Amino acid sequence: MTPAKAGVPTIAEASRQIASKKLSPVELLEGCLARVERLQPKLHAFITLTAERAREEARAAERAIMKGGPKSPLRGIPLGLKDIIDTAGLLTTSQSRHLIDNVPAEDAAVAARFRDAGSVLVGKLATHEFAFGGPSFDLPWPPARNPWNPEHFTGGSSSGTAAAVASGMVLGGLGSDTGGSIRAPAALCGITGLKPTYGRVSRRGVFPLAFSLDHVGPMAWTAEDCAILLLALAGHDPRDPASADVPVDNYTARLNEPIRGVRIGVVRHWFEKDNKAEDQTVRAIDVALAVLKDLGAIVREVILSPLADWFAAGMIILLSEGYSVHERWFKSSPERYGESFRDRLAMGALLSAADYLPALRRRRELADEMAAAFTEVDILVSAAQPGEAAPIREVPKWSLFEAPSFAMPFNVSGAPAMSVCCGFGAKGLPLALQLAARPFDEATLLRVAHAYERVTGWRKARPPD
Amino acid sequence: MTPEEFAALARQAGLTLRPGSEKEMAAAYERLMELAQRVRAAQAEPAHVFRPPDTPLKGEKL
Repeated sequence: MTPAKAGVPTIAEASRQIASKKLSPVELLEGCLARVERLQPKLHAFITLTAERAREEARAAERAIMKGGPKSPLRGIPLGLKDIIDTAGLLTTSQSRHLIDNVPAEDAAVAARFRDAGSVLVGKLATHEFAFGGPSFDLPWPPARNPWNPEHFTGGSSSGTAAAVASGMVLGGLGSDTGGSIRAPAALCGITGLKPTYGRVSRRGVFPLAFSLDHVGPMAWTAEDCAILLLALAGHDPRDPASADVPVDNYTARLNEPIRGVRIGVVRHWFEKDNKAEDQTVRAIDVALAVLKDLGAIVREVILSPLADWFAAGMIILLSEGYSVHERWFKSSPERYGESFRDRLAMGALLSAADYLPALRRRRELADEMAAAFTEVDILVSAAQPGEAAPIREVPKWSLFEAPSFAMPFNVSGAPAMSVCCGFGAKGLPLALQLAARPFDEATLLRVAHAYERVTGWRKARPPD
Repeated sequence: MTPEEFAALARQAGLTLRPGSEKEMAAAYERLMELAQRVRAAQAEPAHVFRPPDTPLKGEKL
């Protein structure tokens, strides 16, 4: 662990410096590109680097600022996109041979929002194949590596975004989350990742994994940065059938409000019994809860259905919907998939309506149960991961069936949830807790995460170069 | 479930398996069936429509 890298500001810091003309977007980008040149060979975070396009965008941002000041906090900010997100005229592969030459004609809604906000696209970032298989060593691109120790797993599937943000190759980026794919890599790479409410951010132009569980969301160094990114992303999109027409809060305006009186429910049985986390994780969560109490939050324990119930409903839905997306390729050219994705998603072919419908029925019961819990608390806390990242070569293909994930309950319910770094383990790798809020209350979620990050020192350390 | 039984099930579903994968896939399938069994008793209306709690659909009064 090293002190914060010189030249890697947060989005908030860079935005303020750009606005006051103390930092040039061109200089900021060149710092990121220098880190890409140095770190990409060992971290493999990028599938496609768009350096020249980024330089043009940074120069355009600089001109716009010199003319009249930034109209957006993202103007001139270097960002990256998970490679399942369409970008007009740019290779978008989903890290799969099936899309090895795929160049979309149109930007995904979220890519267009970032572009319209004046941000700088540094490149397209590694993912597990189609956001589900992995880590895979039999694809045309290697898996991303954890910047804290490249021999260790990033988590997935938004692996490249987590690695690029943690190492300062970009200041922020986008991931997708169907069963934890934003929150797991954010946790294991020591950054902050937010899965918004289902329907809060458009999925148009993002390759689907499971329609009713898919979310797109921000990954950045801090909760404050996630708030800035979410503000640019959130809003109704009539071209996404799941998009919600619900007013968007000003996430950054309320960020510094005190959290005194916020009611926090700890779902302790999920990480102490249902999927027992390492002792060091439990201790780190307890310390974090003490910090939140000191800030004035009211902490109590909450009992919900066993983690395995949430996981079972979510996984049956994910595999059923996912296979329906891929059935054509499974029939015509299954050999083009990597082993991990192919073997895992094949399970969806073996499920019937008699499996899928009960999962949807259980989902309704569980979502209602969580809604009831949110009448008594404002925030739910659990673990984000059981412990530190495993060595990347030791991640079993069927790990997804081995233990129920802490992330899945919030894909099942659609409630917003985020991973926040809460320390470092014995191997020097990040530990994280998970915070969640009631649907469309990202403002409270971000406020609590921001309050925690401000009074703890975890955001001061960056991975070594 | 034996690898042979699994291979037959996969063929029936139209899957082409990777050569030699039948044994591990059969084990994974057994785990999958445990998950499916876990949700079988659910009685609620399926969660097929998503909208924010307490937010009416257009024209609807709650």
